[in-house]
Amino acid sequence: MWPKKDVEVSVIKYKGIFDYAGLYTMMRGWFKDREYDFWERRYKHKVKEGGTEIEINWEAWRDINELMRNWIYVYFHIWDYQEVEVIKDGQKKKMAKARMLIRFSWTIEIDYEDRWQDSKLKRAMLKFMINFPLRKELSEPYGDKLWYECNRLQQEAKKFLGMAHSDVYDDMW
Amino acid sequence: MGEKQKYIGKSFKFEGLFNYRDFFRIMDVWLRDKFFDKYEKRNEEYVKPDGTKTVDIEFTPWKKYTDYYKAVFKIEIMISDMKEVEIEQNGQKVRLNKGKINFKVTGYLIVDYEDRWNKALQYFIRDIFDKFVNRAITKKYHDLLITDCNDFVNTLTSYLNMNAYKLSGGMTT
Repeated sequence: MWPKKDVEVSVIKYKGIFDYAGLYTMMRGWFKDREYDFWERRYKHKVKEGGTEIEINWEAWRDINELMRNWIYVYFHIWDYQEVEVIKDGQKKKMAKARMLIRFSWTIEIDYEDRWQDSKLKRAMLKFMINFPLRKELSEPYGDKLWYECNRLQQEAKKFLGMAHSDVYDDMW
Repeated sequence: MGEKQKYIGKSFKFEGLFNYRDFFRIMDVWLRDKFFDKYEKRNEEYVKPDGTKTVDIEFTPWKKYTDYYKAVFKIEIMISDMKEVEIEQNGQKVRLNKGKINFKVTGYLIVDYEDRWNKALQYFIRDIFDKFVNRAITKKYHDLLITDCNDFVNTLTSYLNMNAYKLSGGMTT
């Protein structure tokens, strides 16, 4: 209900060799460590001539209180995926060679148990609550907190891929 | 979003040795020191078969000055032909990056970012108010944006050792 659409935090694009299984496990573990409920809504694996195309949609949620729920969405799109064998630290290892896009976004769901939906009066009251008393609260502590939580996940993914990252904003909220 | 006014655009080009991680860290430290919120809109990294990297990044950090004025930087960084090199510094081996940096920052002042004055008449009144009645305050934030933008670019160029020493007579060495 608020915000109406999911808010995009960042889009990462990477082309090269990377540890796909490691990235998947690390990111999945990140949600588990923070006690998020997790749902892999889609896992599309399509074998093509130039390499496999993979699309994954993750949705993870955690309740803030009885009225609000945090949602984090991660979307992976991988093109030209091929398994290659590389020698790392003197050992043979299977890695992925591909082009990849990862999109991170979030939203806060209000009234996730539909307690304020059964009458016109309740719906109007909820709308009033969102627009006036809860307006600042939604944007400042809850929205910002979730934004930076999402940003931390993004930083972890970049760190894993060896991309430019920094921990300067990691202790925000 | 309210009206986006472009006020300043600065850019520089650099080619040589630098520390890729430190460069981003310095940028983040400056932004956090000045209370900017982070928005990493796009981060692309392509590893070429010869081992060189191309990095294309767009950051749009923002800072709310008041409930009405907001500053947004659009930072575009393009690093090409970047590779890791090992050099000797004070008798110690140090790993650095070598490549070309193309850096561009544009400063925007967003007025009425909560879109409260969005009807035609309200918009007109707001514009008159900003330009004539509230002129000193608008100018204050406009100047602050320009100072911030200049300071940001100076911090980065100083890190990259790009500032030539200036003599009082205006000569550069």
